[in-house]
Amino acid sequence: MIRTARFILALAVATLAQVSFFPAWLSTPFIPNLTLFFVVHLGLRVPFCWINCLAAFFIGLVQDCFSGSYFGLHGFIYLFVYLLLEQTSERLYTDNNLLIIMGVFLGILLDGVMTFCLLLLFSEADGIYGSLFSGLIPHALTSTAASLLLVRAIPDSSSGYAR
Amino acid sequence: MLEFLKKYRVQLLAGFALFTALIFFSLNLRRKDSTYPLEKVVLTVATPVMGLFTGVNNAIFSVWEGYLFLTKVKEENGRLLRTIKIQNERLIRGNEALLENERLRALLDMRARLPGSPVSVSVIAEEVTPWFRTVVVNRGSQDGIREGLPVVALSGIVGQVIKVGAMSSKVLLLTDHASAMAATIQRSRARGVVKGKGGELCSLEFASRLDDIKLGDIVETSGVGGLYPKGIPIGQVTMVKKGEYGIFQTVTIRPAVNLSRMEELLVLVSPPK
Repeated sequence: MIRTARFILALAVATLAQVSFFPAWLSTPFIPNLTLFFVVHLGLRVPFCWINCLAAFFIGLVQDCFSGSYFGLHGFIYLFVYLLLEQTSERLYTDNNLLIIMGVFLGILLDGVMTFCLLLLFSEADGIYGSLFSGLIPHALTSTAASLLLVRAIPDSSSGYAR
Repeated sequence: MLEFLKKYRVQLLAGFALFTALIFFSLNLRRKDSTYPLEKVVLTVATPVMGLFTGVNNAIFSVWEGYLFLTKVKEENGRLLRTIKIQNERLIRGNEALLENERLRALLDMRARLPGSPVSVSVIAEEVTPWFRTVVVNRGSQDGIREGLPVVALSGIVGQVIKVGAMSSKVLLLTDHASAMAATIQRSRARGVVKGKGGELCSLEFASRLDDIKLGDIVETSGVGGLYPKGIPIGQVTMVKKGEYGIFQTVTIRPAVNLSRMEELLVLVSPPK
């Protein structure tokens, strides 16, 4: 219970910091995505249950509240990232912090690619690929760097769970 | 069949969950301009904390600019520089107040010129992903703001309100790929549609090859569609390209407002019909 409360508190602080603190100091492509770290953490470290699926979807919806004009876009993407990591985590050494950091990097890339594909299929934001792909790598790198700090700051993520 | 369902239960349920999320997303695309209860709740709950973060940012900025630098100098130069520090602090505070005064006075002047009753707002949160361009401002439905209202700054148009919470709202900037507004070239009255290109630029679409558009031309809102008032500056033409073929020309526009450094904005609560 305390662990869950700490997780939610950390998520809330990270979400608000990324939308109102970092933009004052960093320019657009270098603002880290901290919420994805929590989805990766759920996928790799927390034993599977359907509540976690809902949590990943909800984290995506919260991200959508502050980002872009497509409500549900990140909900779908974060759920996909969560399920992908969850399904592969059995074969991985999930206690390794490097795995979470790599997961965040690949998650950001997947986020960009899926945003592009979904908007291509369902919307008419043509030309988005220019800003999307030009900003993707710096965004992924700063998010990875931020997750390096987060992985140390959140004790749960380095201690691991019994899977 | 039952065995198959049992064996792949998790995968099937995961697939179903993903499918449901995709349906949820695609259904929401039709209601892009309306605010969902969850969005309202999140925006309402987050607003005071975002205001707190903005306050912290401002405090750090003012400490850094007004105190730390001078303290370092003080250590190097002793009593003489302590006097300079005090004078400088006064000067900085005075200049800051002067600049703020000028900015707010200009905003008031603009407010008087604009139709309807504009509501002044401050930016409290910005976009995280590099591919969307939105900001969150500190006023919402309690102040009469609703979806679709235009947002302007001192030097020109900023975008439109797309989501509204009780105490905060989300603004789609004119540089977002989903943004479009009817525009006209101030000098030649050539018309087109200004669309966001992501980053810091926009493009003028559907401008005929024969239209007279030159580098440096001012682009302003045409008033067509009734959403944005007529004659508000959008930006300046920075590139004009006419290909050998095709009926349109390629025009790139730099917005009049520096969208990455916005503080006070105005929401036009009663736009012209």
